[in-house]
Amino acid sequence: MNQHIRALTDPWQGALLLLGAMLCTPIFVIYFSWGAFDTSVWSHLADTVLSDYIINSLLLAIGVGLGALVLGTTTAMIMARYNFVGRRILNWLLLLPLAMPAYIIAYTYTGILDFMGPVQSALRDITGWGYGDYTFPDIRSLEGAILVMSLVLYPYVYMLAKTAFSEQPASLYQASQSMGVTKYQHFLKVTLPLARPALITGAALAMMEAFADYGTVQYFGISTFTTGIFRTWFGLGDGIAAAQLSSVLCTFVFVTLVLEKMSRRKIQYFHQGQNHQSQTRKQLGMAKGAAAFFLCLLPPLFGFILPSIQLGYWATLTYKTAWDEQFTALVLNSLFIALAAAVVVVTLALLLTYGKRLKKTPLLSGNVGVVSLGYAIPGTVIAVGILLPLGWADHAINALWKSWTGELLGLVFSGTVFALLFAYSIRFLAVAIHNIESGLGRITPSMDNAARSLGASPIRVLKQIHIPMLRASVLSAALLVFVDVLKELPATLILRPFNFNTLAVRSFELASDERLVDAAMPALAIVLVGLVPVILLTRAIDRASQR
Amino acid sequence: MLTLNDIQIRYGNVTAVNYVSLSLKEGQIGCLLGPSGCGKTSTLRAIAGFEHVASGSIELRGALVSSASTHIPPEKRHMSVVFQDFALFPHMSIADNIAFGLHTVPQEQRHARVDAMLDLIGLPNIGERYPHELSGGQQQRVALARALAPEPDLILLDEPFSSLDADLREELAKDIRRILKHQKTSALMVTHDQHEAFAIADVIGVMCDGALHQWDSAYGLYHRPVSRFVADFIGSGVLIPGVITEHHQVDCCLGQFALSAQHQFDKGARVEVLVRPDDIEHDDKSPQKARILNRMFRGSHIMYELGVEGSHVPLLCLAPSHHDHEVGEQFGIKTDLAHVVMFARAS
Repeated sequence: MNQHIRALTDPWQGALLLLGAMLCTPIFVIYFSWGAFDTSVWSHLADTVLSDYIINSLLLAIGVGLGALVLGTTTAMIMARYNFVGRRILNWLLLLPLAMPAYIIAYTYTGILDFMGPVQSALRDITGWGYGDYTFPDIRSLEGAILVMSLVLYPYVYMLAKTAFSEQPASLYQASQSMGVTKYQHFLKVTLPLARPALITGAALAMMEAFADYGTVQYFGISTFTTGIFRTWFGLGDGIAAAQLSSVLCTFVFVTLVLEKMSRRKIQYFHQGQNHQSQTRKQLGMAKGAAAFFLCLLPPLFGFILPSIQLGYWATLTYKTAWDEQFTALVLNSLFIALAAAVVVVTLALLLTYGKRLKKTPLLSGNVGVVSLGYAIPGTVIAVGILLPLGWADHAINALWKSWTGELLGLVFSGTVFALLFAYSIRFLAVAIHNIESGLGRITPSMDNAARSLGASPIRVLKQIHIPMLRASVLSAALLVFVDVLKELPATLILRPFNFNTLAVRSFELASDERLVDAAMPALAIVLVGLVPVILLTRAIDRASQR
Repeated sequence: MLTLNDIQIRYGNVTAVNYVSLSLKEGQIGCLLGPSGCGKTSTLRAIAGFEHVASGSIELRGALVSSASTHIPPEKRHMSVVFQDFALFPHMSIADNIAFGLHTVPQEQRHARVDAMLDLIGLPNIGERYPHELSGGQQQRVALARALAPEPDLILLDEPFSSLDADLREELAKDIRRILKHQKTSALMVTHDQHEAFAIADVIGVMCDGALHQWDSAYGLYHRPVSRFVADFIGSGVLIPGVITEHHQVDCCLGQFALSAQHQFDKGARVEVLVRPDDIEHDDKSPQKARILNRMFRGSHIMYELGVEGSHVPLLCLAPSHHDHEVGEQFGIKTDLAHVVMFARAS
C-alpha cells in the first residue's frame, strides 16, 4: 500500500498514470451514462430497433470472423506447406487487402454489381435479358457486408496462421508418421490445435473490426450498433442513449477480447522456444501448383485487385475535373491531421513505454496494458465518449465566460482538432506502443549497463544507444498511425471541426450521395497511401523468414 | 585492490546477499561460484555499481565506491563488464563497439587502441563488421576486447560462457585467462560451472543463499571444504557416518583414520566423513571388499558405485579404465584419506 502511495506522489509516474486515466475517460463516460437512465427511450428502443442492432452486429461479427478464418487459414496452409510457381508474388498479393478500407470496397462492389455496372451489363449482353427478366443477388445486404469485410480482413488470420503453420517443427509430423497417423488425421489432431491460438486471435481481430465498422453497414443500410448510435444521437438528438448503446457495443467487444484471451491461456506452453527445424515446403507439380496459385489468388483478386481497377477506371473519368482547390485542401487536411496524430501518438507511446521501462512498477505496466486496449474500442464509441464530456466542458466554460463578460466563447474543445487527436490517441496508441516496445525490447538492460560501465553518462546512453536503435521502430510506429488515421472514418465523421473534410470523410459522403465515380479519387488516394505500410510489412516478414 | 566488507544487498524484503566479504589482489583473477539464485550475480552487479548495497562497503584501490550512504555511478568506477548476452551494440560496427569506452582518447590513439585490441583477441580484420555477422565465440571475444579497451582497473565477467556451445567454452576460458594475464588485468567472474571457474580463476568463492562460504584456491575448495555445502558442490563425493574415538582418530565403515589437523569435535562425537572418488583406490589384492552396484565408463577411467557395509549411500571410486569389473562383483579397495574432512552429524 505504501508503495502505491509513493508511486502516485512520484511526479513522473503520477503524470503517466494521469495520462492513462485521461485516455480512459471516454469509456468511463459511456458506462457512467447509465446513471441517467430514461425508461421511455429504452422501452422505445427495445420495441423497435434494439433487437436488430444486437442480431445484425452479432451476425456481422461472427460471419466476418468465420469468413476471415476460412480465407485466411486456407491460404496460410497452402503458402506455408507448398512451393509452386507464383508463390513469391502471392506473398505480396495476399497482404494487399489490408490497404483497402471496408467502406471503400463496399461501395466499389456496389458500383461493380449494380444494374448499370459491368457485371449485370455483360450478363444482359450475353443472355439478351432485359430489366426484370432476372433476379440478381443484392450486395447491399448483411451477407454482402460479411462478404466484402471478410475479403479485406482475412489478412489478420492469414498472417498469424502462416507463422503458426510454418513454425511447427518437422519432427511433429515425422512423429505422427512413425505412429501410423495419416496426413489428414495429423492436420486435424496436431496442426490445427497447435495453430488454434493464432487462428482465434486473427479471427477475434477481424470480429472487432466488424463490430467497429460504420461505413460499410451505413452504406449498405444495415441496422447495427454503430449506425444505431449515429441515428440515436444525430437523428433523435439523444446523446445519453447513444452513450448507453455505445456501452453495450463496447461490452460485446470486450467479451470478444476476453474470450480470445481465455482461449490462449492454456496454450502458452506450446511454444517451447527450442531450436527446431521447421517443415520444408513440398514442391507441387504443374497442375496442382496452378490450382494452388489460383486458389490463393482469389482473395486478393476480389479483395484488392478488382476493386482497385474499378476505382482506377472511375478516377480516369474524373481526374481532370476532380483535382481542384477543394481536393487539394482535402489532401492537405488529411496529411496534416494524420501527421499531427502520428507525432502525438508516438510521443505518448514513447513516454508510456519509457516510463514502464525505467520504473518497472506493476502500476505503470498495468497503465500501458489498459491504454493498449484502446485498439479494440470502436471509433464511434470513442467519439461519443469524447463528445459528451467535451460538450459539458464547453457548456460550463461558456456559462462561466458569459457570467464574467456577458458574451459567448463558442466551442473550445468539441469540434476542434484537439478532440480528433484525443480520439486517435485512444484508438491507435496500441499500434505505436506495440512497435516501440518491441524496439525497446531489443535494447537489453545489459546494453545500458555495458554503456554505463564503459564510462557513458545516462544522457550519452540515450543519444548513442537508445535513439539510434529505436529510430526504425519509432518511424514504423509513426507510419502505421499515419495510415490508420488517414483511413479512419466514424470518429473523424463525428468529431471533425466544422467544414474540416478529410479524404476518408469526403469519399464516404460522395459515395453516400451515390456519386461513386466522384468518390473514386479520394478513395484511391487512401488505398495508395495505405499500400506503403503493407509493402514495409511484407519486407519485414520476408526478412524474418529468411533468417 | 578490490575489497568487499560485509556487504548486504536487499530487494524489498528479500536479502539477496548477506554479509559478504572478500578481497582480490592486483592482477588476480577471482571467481564467484554457486547455484543460480545464490547472490553471486547481485554481488557482481553491486561491484559494478548497478545495485546499491544496503550495508557494508566496497573499495577499489583503497577508494570507497559503495556503501549505504555512498554510491559512485557505474560510469565513474573504471570497471568494465562482460555480460552473459555480450550486450554488443547491434547498430555499431565492431570497431565502434570497442571504441565506445575510449571517447576521451584522441582519435588517432583510439584507432591504434582498437586495432591493438582486435589483434589481442586474434580477430584483426573484423573492425568493419557488425555484431550479428559474428559467431557466438567471436562476439564473446569482442565483448572482452570492448571491456579491456579503456584499460579498466577491474574487469567483471557475468556468466561469460553460458550462451556458448559447451565445446567452445574450455577453449575460450583458456584464451580469456591468457589475455587477462597478458594484460595484467584484475578480473572477477561469476559462474555456476566449477570447471569454468577452475579453468580461469586464481581464487574462487563459493556462494549459497546469499552467503560466501569459502574464498580459496581450487585445491583448497576441493580438499579443505569448510562447509557441507562446499564439500557437496565442488567435485563429487559422499559423506559417511563416523565417530571420533580418540582426539586424533576417527572410526568409520572404511576403517580408522588418523586426524592430523586441529578440529573442534570432542571424543565420542558423531560426525560425517567426506570421501572423494580419488580417496578410494582399487586394489584386487586388498582384503577390504566392496560390491559393485553400478559403473559409468568415462574413457580413461571408470567411476564405480560401491556398496560398503555400514554406509547407506554408495561410495564412489574412480579406477583406471583397464580395471574392468562387472556390476555385482566383489571389488578390493584401499582407502587413503590424505585430509580427513568432517562435519557434525545431524542425528
